[in-house]
Amino acid sequence: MAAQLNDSNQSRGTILVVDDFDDTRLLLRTWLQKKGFRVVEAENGNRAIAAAESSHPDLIIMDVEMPELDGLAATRKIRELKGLAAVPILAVSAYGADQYRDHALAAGCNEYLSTPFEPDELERLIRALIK
Amino acid sequence: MTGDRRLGTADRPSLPSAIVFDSPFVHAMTNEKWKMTNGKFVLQSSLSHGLPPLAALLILLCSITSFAQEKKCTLKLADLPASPELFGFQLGMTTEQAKSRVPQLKFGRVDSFGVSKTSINPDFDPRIDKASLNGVRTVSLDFLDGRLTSLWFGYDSTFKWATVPDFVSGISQSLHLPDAWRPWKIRGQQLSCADFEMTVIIVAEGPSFRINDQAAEGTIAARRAAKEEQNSAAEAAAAEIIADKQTRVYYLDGCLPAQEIKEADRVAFNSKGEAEKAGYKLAKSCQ
Repeated sequence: MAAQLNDSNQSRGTILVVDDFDDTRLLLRTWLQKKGFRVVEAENGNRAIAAAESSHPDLIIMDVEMPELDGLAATRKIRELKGLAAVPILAVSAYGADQYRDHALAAGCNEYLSTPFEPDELERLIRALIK
Repeated sequence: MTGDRRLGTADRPSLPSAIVFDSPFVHAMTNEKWKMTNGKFVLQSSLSHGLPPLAALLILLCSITSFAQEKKCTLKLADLPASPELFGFQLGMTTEQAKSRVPQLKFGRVDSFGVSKTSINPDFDPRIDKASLNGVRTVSLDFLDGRLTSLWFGYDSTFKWATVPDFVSGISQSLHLPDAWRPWKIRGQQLSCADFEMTVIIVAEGPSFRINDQAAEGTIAARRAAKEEQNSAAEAAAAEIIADKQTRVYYLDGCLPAQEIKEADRVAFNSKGEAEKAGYKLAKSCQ
């Protein structure tokens, strides 16, 4: 059975949260830290690439729509980087899965989550993606 | 009620992406279903009530025209009044004015495009006066050349308008906005006006509301494009000169050697001067 994400001070890995809205990053950071993850943040695709290279996260939660470089373009570039080709990337967007899921997977994302989502759904995906 | 009417129109998918044939008048007349196929409106079943096809088409055209007319916002940023829901912030204000509103504000560095950002988290920052930002979880402020160009509020679940329709109705009254909101993303709403755009969605049980200065967005995009062009030109210029270590000859773009230079023998220079300084001579084919 997959491990549960328990509230704990012990680090369960590093998650890079990429979103252009500080509020979303704040909410995710608070929740993920409570779940025991170390959190690294980036506000656009370019910064996400730099943060991924420097922090080598165990998972990237990637907003799709962002200024400068969007989440899908950033995912494509991250996939080309040495050591990051296999890092799990969870695309998150307020667009419906019907519209964006295929695009996200084609860009190299492993999963797609439409907002608004329930924390349980995010937790399930994190468990599945971080093995 | 204004809010209900706004919800009704906003629930329609926007032109031309989906079914928009939604005029009550036309429905009453035809009771038909239409859909968008290959960019054209297609009637899915034959007309009922004996309405001639031409009449139905005219009604459809009138309906679409009036639909488009009612969905327009010509307001400019300068037309927007102060609103209690914006807590003293207003697009166009300077960094100094923002700082006088919240003295604890710390601005990030100004990037090469003239953009600086900052945010306020009343729940997480004990220095912030929470009472003056009641119901607000986060305010994100983007400045271009020292003026506020994007204002993004993350309200919490205690905020007085808890749903998108309620928020749209309330903010429209507060900012004197026209009934021209359109569906945006999943369950969100968007209002595009002359020089600004607003969006509302629900995030973590509270409204997420953004106002963007579109002219500023254009300026940033233009500056970014110019920088990319500059970088591309620099890269192209840098790639123009290649030389062969074996023959000590260099080549310009457009007069490459007949035989490709082996990778191990290939060297690149940024300029002719640099190549010549290194002891290379221009290939005869390039002279």
